[in-house]
Amino acid sequence: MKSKRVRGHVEIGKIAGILLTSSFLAGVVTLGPGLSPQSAKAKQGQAKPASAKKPAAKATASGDAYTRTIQPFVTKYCGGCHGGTTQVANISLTKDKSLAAAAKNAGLWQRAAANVSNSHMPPKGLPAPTLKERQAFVDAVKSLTIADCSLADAGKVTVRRLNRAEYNATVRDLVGVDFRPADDFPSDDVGYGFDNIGDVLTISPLLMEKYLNAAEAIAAQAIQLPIPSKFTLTGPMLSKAGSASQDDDSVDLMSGDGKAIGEFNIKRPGRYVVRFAGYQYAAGPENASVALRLNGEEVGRFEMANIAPKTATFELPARLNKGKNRVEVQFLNDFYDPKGPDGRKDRNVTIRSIEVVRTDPESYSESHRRLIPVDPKPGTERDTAKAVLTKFAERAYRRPVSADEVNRLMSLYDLSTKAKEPFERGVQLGITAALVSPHFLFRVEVDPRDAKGSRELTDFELATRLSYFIWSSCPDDRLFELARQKKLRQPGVLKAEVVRMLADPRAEGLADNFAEQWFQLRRLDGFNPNPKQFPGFDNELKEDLRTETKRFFMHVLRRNESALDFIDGKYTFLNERLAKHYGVPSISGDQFRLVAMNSPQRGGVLGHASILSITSNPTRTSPVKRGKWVLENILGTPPPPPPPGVPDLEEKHEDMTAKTLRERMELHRKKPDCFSCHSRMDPIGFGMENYDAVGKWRTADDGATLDTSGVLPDGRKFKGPQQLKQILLQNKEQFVRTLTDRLLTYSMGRGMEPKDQCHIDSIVARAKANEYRFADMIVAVVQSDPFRKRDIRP
Amino acid sequence: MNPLDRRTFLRGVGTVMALPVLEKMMPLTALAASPAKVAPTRMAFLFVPNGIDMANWTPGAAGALPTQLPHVLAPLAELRNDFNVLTGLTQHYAFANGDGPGDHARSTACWLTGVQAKKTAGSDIRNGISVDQVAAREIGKQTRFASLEIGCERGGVSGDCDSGYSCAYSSNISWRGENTPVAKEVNPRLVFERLFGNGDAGEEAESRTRRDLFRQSVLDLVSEDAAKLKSRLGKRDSQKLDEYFEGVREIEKRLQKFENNQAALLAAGIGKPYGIPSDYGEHIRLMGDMMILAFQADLTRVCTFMFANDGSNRSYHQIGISDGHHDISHHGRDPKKLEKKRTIDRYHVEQLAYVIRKMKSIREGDGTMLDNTMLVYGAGISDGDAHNHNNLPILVAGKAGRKLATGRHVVYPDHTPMTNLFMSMLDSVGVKVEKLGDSNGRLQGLF
Repeated sequence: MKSKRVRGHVEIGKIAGILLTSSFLAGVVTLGPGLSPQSAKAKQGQAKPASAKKPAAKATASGDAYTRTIQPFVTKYCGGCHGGTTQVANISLTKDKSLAAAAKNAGLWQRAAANVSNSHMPPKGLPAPTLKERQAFVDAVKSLTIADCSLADAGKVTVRRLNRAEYNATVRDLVGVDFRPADDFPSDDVGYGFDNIGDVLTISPLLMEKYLNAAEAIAAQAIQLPIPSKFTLTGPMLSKAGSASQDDDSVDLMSGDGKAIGEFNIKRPGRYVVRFAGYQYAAGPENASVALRLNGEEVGRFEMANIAPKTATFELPARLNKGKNRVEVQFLNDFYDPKGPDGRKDRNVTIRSIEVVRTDPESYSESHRRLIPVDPKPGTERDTAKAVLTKFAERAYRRPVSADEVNRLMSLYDLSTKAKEPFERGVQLGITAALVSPHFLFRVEVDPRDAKGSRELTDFELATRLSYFIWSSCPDDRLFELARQKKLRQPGVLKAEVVRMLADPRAEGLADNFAEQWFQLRRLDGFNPNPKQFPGFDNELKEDLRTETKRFFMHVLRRNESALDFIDGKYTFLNERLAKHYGVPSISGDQFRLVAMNSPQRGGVLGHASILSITSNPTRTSPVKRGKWVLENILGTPPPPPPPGVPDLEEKHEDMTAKTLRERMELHRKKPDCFSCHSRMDPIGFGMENYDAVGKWRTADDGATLDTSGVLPDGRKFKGPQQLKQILLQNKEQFVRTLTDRLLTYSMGRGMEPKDQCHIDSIVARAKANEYRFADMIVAVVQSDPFRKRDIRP
Repeated sequence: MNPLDRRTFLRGVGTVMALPVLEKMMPLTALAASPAKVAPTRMAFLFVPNGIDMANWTPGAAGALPTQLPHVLAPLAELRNDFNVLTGLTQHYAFANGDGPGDHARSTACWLTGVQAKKTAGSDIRNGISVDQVAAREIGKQTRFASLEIGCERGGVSGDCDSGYSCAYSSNISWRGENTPVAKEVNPRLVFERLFGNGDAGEEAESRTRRDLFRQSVLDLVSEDAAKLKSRLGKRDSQKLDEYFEGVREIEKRLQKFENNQAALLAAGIGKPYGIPSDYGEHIRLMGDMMILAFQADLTRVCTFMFANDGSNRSYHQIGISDGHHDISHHGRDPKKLEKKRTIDRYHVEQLAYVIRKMKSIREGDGTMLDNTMLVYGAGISDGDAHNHNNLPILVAGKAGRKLATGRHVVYPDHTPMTNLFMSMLDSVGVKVEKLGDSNGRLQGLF
């Protein structure tokens, strides 16, 4: 059933295409309705000379690239749909009247050039430019923007607040407490495909409240307050049981079941001395004796030789639990003889106090010792606090701090001291303030007053951009030291640091935040395929899918493999579950390992079940979504959104009765732009039909064989994923350009602008000369002007 | 057979069971908090995504609501004297108006603002101020929280969310300023902690006072940091600092004006929800409980509540629907998809019925909480397939402090601005504004 539907889709596409072509042309050369494609083509032939009356070559004698090359090309090939009154997809290429106007509009022209370059435009069936003409057009568009990168400015980066991932990682590295306080923060808004874009990251009152709460929680977690180590209960704080009486300063045990009881709430379990104080009222032949019980168990007996009012203490070591501990002193040998001598008739016991004293040495958490390495000696608390807060603020603000800044943090310490709080509480308060300060929450780049043009980043600013790019976290000791010595900007040092940082475990931040967003892996969270159809798809497998792609990404990065491996790397990472999902034998255990993949079924991320799943619907595959994914994330030519009245990304042609099918075709006939995009998306998706909605390999769908062939708008044909990848590799530079664009966007937290093309070009050229090695591309990004410089804002 | 009747989800959620207790605690109830001993009027806006199957929503002719309500509204049958269905309302600026596709994001941004959101996936988001925030600026002064924003889905995860519109648009109906959506909380436990504190009941008054003093000093210090920094930044950067200031001021307001009442609440035996329930319906109902609790304790009088973000492609396995909601909403008149669509729409209304019923069960003076509420429920898209924004599915429950006669189907001429409804609502709580979005008057015959 399903594959019929799929095939139906192809046919519909074709039918729509044909119909479209004719209606398309109707717009261009005003043909009447109902013409067959053949006659349309015939007419087209006639139309050609009309538009070629002024051949491009002859108009060239004078004029610039725009009038000489671009305008004639547009008139000849594009204007019929994208100009004058017809503006398919809202795109007009005839508005710009001069080179200057076109240069201002360079973004549009770059999109046009990309579409002409990869033969998406003009659509099949319309007169096609020669390869040479295409190249001339693309070159001319390039010349619209600045060719000399040194003249291009570095671009404007809006001050960025830390996003959730960065906040968590920064706190982890700053205080050594990994408790992910930002997981409860509201989601970060996304722009240009990433959640670290300065312009869209906002602070709502809710978030501000969370910042304050988180800062307090972090300070409390990182710095331990002293806990008094001796706990004493006297008279009224004790309680009693059995035959006993209690007054203001003691518990008197009258007979053999009388008990004095002390309850202690212990925060730090461990070794203590348990101690009680009291005396006996002597009578009879022996001294009073008492039993000491801890939490119901007898731990010792004592004979009390001292007679009232002479108090003595009795103690023994014991181990106390966390929480409530109950200490009982029970009188054991009551004696009463009314005939005894005065003062020695009645043996009783008085307990005046029970106390516990901690005997374990003070132990501090790692984070406490990291921030306060040595306890201050009496009298030096304030100096110690100042040193601690200065160091903390430096690292939190990612730069040296001024005396004024430190003094203001110290004013909080002083406030705390005045309130008779311990030293540690004052330090906590200063840390709280630093963590709520805009200097921590925002990555600030402040320009010198009255500066103009653009400037190189300071060493500290560069260290910060670098560490958040590669680690999603703050600079470490070494980066900080290099910045302090003003060495980081030296090209050799910068490169060596990137290499060092990529090898560090924190570089996983690139997989967690860059790769997850580039490949849109976070959509896995919301992907829940129909459990009846895909019973094996559980949360564990979902995590495995994500892990495979991230491990693959880190492998290409850490081994400095070619970025083209993302398309056709002959290996992947599998554990037992995922291997079973893929039908790969003899892999056992939960651990992921590198596995060679020479089968045409897998290799490259397009064969990763993660990506195949997020581009599917819960009940079936979606060739449209898969095609769109490739266009967006591999080729960097996202299809324009569908025109009004047509829902986004819908494969309405499926599941349709004949009547609705006709309605759809009517719709298509009226809107030629449906075809122009779907003819790009759908064939790519058909080529991936060998994977089901959760990325398993299949050769049939519900019993019917699959048709995995596709024809691209420029006529190139292919069948199945292997050939699709070959086609994508014919455009390898386009893929590398897309990747470069993504890296720059992510690393700087801003969208790419036309003038950035020049920088992208040079990174792509460098990559090409270097076998597209991925880690080297990261180095090139870091060394590029936009990364190392900033425009000064008005 | 009504799944709500089982109410198994109540187990372990002390919040729900403690409500009658809470009501007896005079100092906490909204009624007692008001000096005039008159319960305040609350505003709530409940949003559902992807339009509604209008054929099974609209109740026939204008006039009294019939006993037999259309399929989608049927769960509200017993409550039919407590709400009005409004037909013909429109968000004009949710339409493309030349901006092309992106109806999900655009109509969500427009739903409470009546403003055409600027089409952008990245920088320079721009929308209008939403009705709840206009109200919150005035009536929110009297409560601990000016407004409460809740929902069941976090914001978008990656990519632009809808045909070139930022995720900020499709996941927020509440906007406090042109560039500032108000983020919503989706975890009931966190809503609870925000409203009532984190449950450290042993905290004594003295240490609380001290902590507030410390907090105030921290805020003073960082405000000074921000002011100094702002003076050295360019225009766009300093706008970001303005958001920061705004946030600091909100916290300060709370520190200064309101006492922490968590201890009292805990005394009433209210427990904290555990987290996000795996059952979607339970999640909605629990968030509804949080809203009602906030109203009841008069912690806020204004709430927005998004059942899901627009364009949501959630599956409803619990009612046997495994396709995504968004995919289904593009039904193309396919009878199978239409049936699924109306099943989902009805499921949402079942949850709404729970909320309304509960508001009705809470006595305030000689009426109920529902009598003192205006609860707007509906979508920013009318038909999920056509993506039109006229004749929106809208109902208003509650009597707005007995100013509003309920139990009616009120039909307005198609293309009547929905913002006119908001103007009427603002009037009824004494908030005076000249205009909201594209409003051109008040709704006639409603209040």
